[in-house]
Amino acid sequence: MKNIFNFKLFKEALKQIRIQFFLCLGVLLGIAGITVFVLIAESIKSYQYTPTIDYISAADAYGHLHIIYAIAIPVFTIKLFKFLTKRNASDFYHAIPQKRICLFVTYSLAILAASVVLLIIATAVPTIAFLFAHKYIKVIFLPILTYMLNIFVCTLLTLSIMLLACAMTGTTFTSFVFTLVLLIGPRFVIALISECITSNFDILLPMNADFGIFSNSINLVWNQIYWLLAYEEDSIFAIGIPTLYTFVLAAIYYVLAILMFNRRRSEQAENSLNNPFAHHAIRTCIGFVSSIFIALSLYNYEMDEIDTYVIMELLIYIFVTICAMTIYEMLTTKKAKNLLNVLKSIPIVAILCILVVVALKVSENNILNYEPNASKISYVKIKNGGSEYGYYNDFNHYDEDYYYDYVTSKIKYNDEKIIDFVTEQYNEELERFKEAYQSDNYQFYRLYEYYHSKGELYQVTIEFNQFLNKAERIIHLTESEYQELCELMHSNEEYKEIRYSLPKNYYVYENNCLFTSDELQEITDVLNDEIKDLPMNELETVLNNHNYDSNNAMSFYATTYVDSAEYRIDIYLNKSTPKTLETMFEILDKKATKQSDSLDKVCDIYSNLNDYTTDDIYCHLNFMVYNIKSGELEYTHRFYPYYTGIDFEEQMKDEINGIITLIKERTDYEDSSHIVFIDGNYTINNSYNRLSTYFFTDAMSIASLFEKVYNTYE
Amino acid sequence: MIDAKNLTKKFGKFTAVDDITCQIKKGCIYGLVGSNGAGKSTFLRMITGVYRPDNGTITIDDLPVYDNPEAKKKFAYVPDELYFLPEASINRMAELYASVYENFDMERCKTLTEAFQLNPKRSINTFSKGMKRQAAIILALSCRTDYLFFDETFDGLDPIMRSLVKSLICQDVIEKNTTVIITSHSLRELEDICDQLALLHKGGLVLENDVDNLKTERFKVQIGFAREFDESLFSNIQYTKFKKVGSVASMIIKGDKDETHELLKQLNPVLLDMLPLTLEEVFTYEMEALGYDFSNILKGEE
Repeated sequence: MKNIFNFKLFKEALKQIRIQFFLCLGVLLGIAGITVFVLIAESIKSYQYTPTIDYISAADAYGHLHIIYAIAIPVFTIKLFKFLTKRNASDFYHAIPQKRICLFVTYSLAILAASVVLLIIATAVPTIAFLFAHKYIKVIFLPILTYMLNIFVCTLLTLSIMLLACAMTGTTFTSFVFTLVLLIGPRFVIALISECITSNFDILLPMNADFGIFSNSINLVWNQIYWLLAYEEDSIFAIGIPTLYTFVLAAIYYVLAILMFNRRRSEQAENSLNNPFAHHAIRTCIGFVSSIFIALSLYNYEMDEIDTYVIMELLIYIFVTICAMTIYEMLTTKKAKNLLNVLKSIPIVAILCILVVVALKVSENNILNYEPNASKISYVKIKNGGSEYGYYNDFNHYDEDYYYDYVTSKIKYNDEKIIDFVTEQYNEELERFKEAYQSDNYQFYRLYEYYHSKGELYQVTIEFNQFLNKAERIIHLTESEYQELCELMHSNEEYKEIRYSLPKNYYVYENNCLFTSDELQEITDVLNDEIKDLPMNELETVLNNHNYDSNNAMSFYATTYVDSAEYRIDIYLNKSTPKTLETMFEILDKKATKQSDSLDKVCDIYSNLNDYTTDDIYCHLNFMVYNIKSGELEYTHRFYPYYTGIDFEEQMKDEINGIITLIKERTDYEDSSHIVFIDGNYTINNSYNRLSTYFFTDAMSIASLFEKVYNTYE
Repeated sequence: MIDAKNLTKKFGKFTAVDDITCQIKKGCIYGLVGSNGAGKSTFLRMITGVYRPDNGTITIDDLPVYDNPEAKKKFAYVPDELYFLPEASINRMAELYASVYENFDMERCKTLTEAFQLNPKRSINTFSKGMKRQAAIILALSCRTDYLFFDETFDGLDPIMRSLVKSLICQDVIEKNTTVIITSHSLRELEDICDQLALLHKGGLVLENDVDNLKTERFKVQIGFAREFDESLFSNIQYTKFKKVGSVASMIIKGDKDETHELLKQLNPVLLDMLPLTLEEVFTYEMEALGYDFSNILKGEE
C-alpha cells in the first residue's frame, strides 16, 4: 500500500489545488444558489396562489454538477500534472523518494477526492436549501443520487483520459489535443458511421437504432456532448448499461495511464517527440478522424456515380485531412523538416478508411440479409414510431420520455401470434425495400409511392431477439394491420398489467394551479381504481400520451421514475372517468366560494386595461365552460388583445359581449350543471401574475357575471 | 557507497554518458569536473534516478536507484535547473519536502533560512537567482539524508554564501559522514572542498583520483648545479616537462616527495626547491600524460 499511496503526498496535492478547488466551488455554488433562489421563489409564489408542492428532481436544479467533469477535472489535472510538461519540474518529481505509481495514484486520487467533495457540497447545499423550503418544494432523492453517480462516472472517465494524455505527451498542447482525440474522436467517427447506416436504411432501421457499444448513449460523457449537439438521448439520469460501460472504460483508460506513466521518461517533458510512437499515434488519429468523410463518401457513391463533382468532394476531404495532420505537426514540432512525418501517417489513415468502407459494406450486407425466422425468435419488443418520415400516423409516435411508451416498449412478447405477425410483416417490408434499394434510381421514391398508396400508415419498431442476436427493425402497417397488432399486444398479460394502473410512486401536477398536492393525489387515487374496469380503447383516452383532446374536462400530468430516470404520464379526465370527475368537482365545489376575491381581481384587472400603457402590460384571458355531467369542455374562448392602435377596453367589450350572447343562446346551460373557469395571465412592468378562478353556476349567473364586467366599461 | 558500472545514456544519436564506471565511498566529497556538455548533469540525473541508464547499473548502498524509493530517500538533490511550486515560499516548499522525505528537519530549515537571511514566507519566485539557489540548498540540507548531490550549485552564489554553503556541507560530512557529489565546470571551485575529483569529457570519465594524491604525487622541482649537466643526470627519477635555463632546471616529478628529495640531494645541487602544484596544474599534466589537452577540455573545445 505504501508503494501505491502516500497520504502525506495526498494532502500535499490537495494543498496544491486548493485555490482551483475553491474557485470551482464558488462557481458551482453561485450557479446552484441562483437556481435554488429562482426555484424556491417561483414555488413560494405559486404556493401563495394554490398550495401545491413542487417536486425537484436532478434535471431541475442540479445541472451545475456537469461543471465538475467539464471544468474542475481538467483544471485540477493540468495543475497537478503540469510538472510533466516542464523539464525541471519533471526531474524534481522523478528524483523524490516515491515510486512513480505512488506519485501517479496519489495525485490522481487527490483530484478525484477534490471532485467528490465538490460533487457532495454542490449537491448537498441546494438540497439542504430545498429541505428548508420543504413547505413549497420536495426533493426526490433517488434520481439525484443516480445523477450524482453518473456525474461521478463521467468524472472518472474525463480524469482517466486526461491522465493518459498527460502520461503520453510532453506538452500541454499535445496533451490537450490527445485528450480531445480520445474523448471525442472515436465516438465522433462511430456516430457518423451509425448515422450513415441509419440514413441509408431509414425505412428498416430506427433513427436511434441500438448499436450496442456503438450507441451514442452508451458513453455518458459523449452522450452529454451529443445531447448538446443534437439534443437527443440523455442517459445521464438513469443507472444502466451506460453507467457500467463508462465506468469500465474509465478503468481501462486509468490502467493504461498508469502503464504509460510508468514507462514515461523524465526527459519527455517539454518535448512531444521523445515518445515518437505517441506522437505518430496522435497525428494518425487526427488524420483518421478528419478522413472519416472520405470513407463515408466512398461508401455512399457507387463506382459509376463518381463524377467530377464527387472527385472534387473527395479531393477537398483529402486536403482537409492532410491539413489537419500538418497543422498538428507544425504546432507540436515547430520544424518544417518534420512535416514530412505526415507522409508516414497517410498510408495508415488510408488503410483505416478502407477498413471503414469494408465494415460499412459488411454491415449493409448483414442488414439486407437479416431475415428473421419466427420459429427461432424467442421474443420481440415493440414500440411505435421512431422515424422522421412524415407519412405515418404521428399520434402514435413513440416518445421515450413517456412512462407507458417506455415501459411497454420493454415488454418481451413471446406470444407466437405476435412473433408470427411482426416477422411476416418485416419480411414483406424487407422484400419491398430490397427491390427498391437494388433498383438504381428513384428507389426511395418508389417506396414512398407504395406507402402513400396504402393511405395512413403506422410505423412500428420491432426488436427481434434470437438467443444472443438482437436486431431492431421498422415495419409500416396499414390501419387494419396496426389494429390487429394492437389487439394482439392488448391481450398480453404484462401489457395489461402495466396499462391498467398508475405506477407505484408518482408525483401529480396540474397546470391551472387549482388543486393542492394532496387533492391531486386524492383524485388520482380514485382514478387508479376507476381505470381498472375500463375497456382498452377508453383507457387509452385517459392514460395515453397521444390522445390530447380539447374536449377533456381536465388534464393533469404526473412524473414517475423507472431505473431512476424520470418519465411523464399525461392524465385526461373525461366521460370515461365519471367517479374521478365527481371527486374532482366535489373538491372544487368545496373551494368555489373562496374564489370570489380572485374573481374580483380578474374583473378589476380586465376592467382597467387602459390604465396601462402598451409598454408595460401584456395579458390574455381564457374562458372555459365544462359540463360536469358529460365531463366535456363545452365552450372555450381565448382572448389575446391587440396592443397597437386598438383600445383595450373596446376589445374587451367586444369579447365579453360575445360571451354573454353565446351564454344566453345556450338554453342547456340552465340546468346548473356547468362549471366556469376564467384563467388570466398578465404581466405588468415585467412582473408576471396569474389569476385563475372558477365557479359553479347556471347560465343566468354566468351571463350576469359578464354583464357586471361589461358594465364597468360603460 | 555509490557504485556505477558501465553507465551509458543516449539521447537519440547523441551519447551523453559513455560507459562510466566509478565508486564513490561513504563520507567522501566527490567533485565532478567537465566542460559544458561533458555529461556531468546527465550522470547526476542517473545517480538520482531521474534518468534510466540505457546501459549499466547504478546502486546506492547496494540498492538500485531507478524508481526505488528506498534508495532515493538516502539522498537529496539540488539540480542545475531548480524547481519550486508556483508562488511557493520556503515554508511551503518545506511542507512539500516533508511530505516525501521522512527525516526532513523543519527546525534545521528554519535555522538555515535565518542563517542565509532569507524570508521564509516570501514567494521564492521573487528571489534573485542566488537566493533561489540558497533556498534549494537549505531545503536539501534539511532533508537530513546520507547523500547530497549538487549540480552546478555554486553558480550564482556570492563568495560569502559560497563559503557558508561549503562549510555547511563539510559540517554534514564531518558530523554525519554524509557523502556529497558536486559538479562544476570550474576546477578552482572544487579543489578546496573535494576529497576526490573526477574529470568527465565527451561523456567519458577520463580521470578520477583523490585530491590529496593528486596534490602530493606530483610536485615541481627547481634544481641548480655549479657544474654543467643535462637530462641524463636524472635518469633514475620519473619526471616530465624538463626545462633547463642556464644552470637551473625545472621539472615535474611524480612520486614520493621525501624519497625524491633524498635522491636529488645526493646529486649535490646548489639550488633545490620542491614546489607544490595547483590542482589545475596537476590536471593539466595528468591529462597531457593521457594525451588530452586539458586547457581545451575545460574550455569546452571538443
